[in-house]
Amino acid sequence: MFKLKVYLPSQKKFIYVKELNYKTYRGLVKSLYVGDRLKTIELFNFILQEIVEVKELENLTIIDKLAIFLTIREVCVSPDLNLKCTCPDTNAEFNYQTAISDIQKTLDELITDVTVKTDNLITKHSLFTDIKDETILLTENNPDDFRTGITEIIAEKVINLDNYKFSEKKIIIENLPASHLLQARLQIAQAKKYNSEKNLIKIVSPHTDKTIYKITGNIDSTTLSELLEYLFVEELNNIYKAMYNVVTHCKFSAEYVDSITPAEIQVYWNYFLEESKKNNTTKNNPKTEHNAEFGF
Amino acid sequence: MNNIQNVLDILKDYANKNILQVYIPSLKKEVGFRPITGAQQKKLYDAGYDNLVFRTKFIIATYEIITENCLEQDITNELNVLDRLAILLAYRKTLHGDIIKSEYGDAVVTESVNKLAKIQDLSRTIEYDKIKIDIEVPKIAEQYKHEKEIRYQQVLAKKDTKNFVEALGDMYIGETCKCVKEIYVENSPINFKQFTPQEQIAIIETLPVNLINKVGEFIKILFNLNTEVLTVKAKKEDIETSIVLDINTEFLVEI
Repeated sequence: MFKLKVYLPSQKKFIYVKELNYKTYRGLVKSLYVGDRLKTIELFNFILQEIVEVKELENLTIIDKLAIFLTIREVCVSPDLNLKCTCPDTNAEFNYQTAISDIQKTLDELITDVTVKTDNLITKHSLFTDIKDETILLTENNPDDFRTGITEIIAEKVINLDNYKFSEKKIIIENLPASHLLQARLQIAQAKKYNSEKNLIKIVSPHTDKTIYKITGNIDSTTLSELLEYLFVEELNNIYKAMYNVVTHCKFSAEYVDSITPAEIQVYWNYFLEESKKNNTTKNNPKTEHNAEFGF
Repeated sequence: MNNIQNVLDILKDYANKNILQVYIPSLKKEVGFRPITGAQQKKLYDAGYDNLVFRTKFIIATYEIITENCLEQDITNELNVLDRLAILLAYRKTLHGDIIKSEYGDAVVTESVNKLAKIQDLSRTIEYDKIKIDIEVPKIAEQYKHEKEIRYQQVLAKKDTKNFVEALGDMYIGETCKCVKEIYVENSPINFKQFTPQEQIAIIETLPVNLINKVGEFIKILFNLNTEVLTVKAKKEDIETSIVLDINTEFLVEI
């Protein structure tokens, strides 16, 4: 089976993930209309379980999750992100477009972890939450909890904390020396400041030149969910129209359409349009007109 | 499988190897203290919202931190409020360094530490009529007991509704209780410390005013000494200004 290669910024390694098929994509777009943040997190994490191998799911952080979905979005849906925006000062509408690859480039420039050293004690902290702690933190209304990020302690022995639960990490942090924690907070704040100066998305109104919206590299579960929603939001009508068209006009079975990616459907549809255009020209019969784009 | 206890043991070992030696003025010797932990630091943060007159939460938090971290558990009941100052100043130096930034320039914590080291024993006996009282610098254990039993629940429930003048009256009697080591009536000790804080207050309120005033004079001496110890010189562009350090949550954890 074909797999996509994704670079995980937190783990600094490549993994392979399955493609996003049309059935899952349709379910995702439908679910985003519900508008519940916790459900959105659960939904994307559920899809991760489908497309990422179990052993790779361990220690996946929210920035790795974003990297995976950016690749999925770029390859399986479309390489560009188009958003319809309204200028808050003039109420005029305008289109915002950016390449998914540009967001990926910024993602790779972010600081993902810090190492803190004080008298014979070293701790390592990830700046981005582990996906298994996402919903806990959001339920606690604290999407940016410093306590979850500790990944390693070196005090005579090296202790890897990747597999420790959130509650266990809280206890460990409570038992670290306060002077060390102060240093950790300082370094983490500096790294977050650096990340917050990197924009993953920045929308400037062409009417006023003011920045009307941005998502910086200092992402937490809430901002990540927001960004993922923008990446995968689509007119439901387009989703069903695409299915209807390729099944009706291209004569594909619904099962096959559900098994391929939205981008592949677009490719087939383009072939169909080219062919019907050729046939119409040959027969000099311009009666059939189809839209070239589904929208995604 | 994760072994959280194993991690905690390693951190405990680390704490025991990184002991802070503090000179305790009342004992005239150095005593070792473990570093403040993240949980203890949180306790200090929580003391940020406090009773402004009594600083109930701050007194309770610092007492618990000192007694938990002290390596010589048998001396914790003997530590007094000036010893506590010495310990908190030492912790402040460890957490944020010696320099204190102020609008009048930089000052150093060590200046106060050095003054504390020179303090002599202040205990004395006062008497009036047939009553004799041994007075001393209040012990932190006594102070803790008073705050915990009298005010803590009210402060936690944010129901401490007394006005400033009423609170000052309570403070005066409360401070008097904490300074009293023993009361002798016709040379017989009443074993003052065995009574609860509320009972101690009731006893103090029955004492002749002349005696209370004498304890009050001692409290004034203590207050002035405290101010003198915490007065340090800040220097900015060759201009020296005396500032008084306020030992509170902000001083320790720099909120």
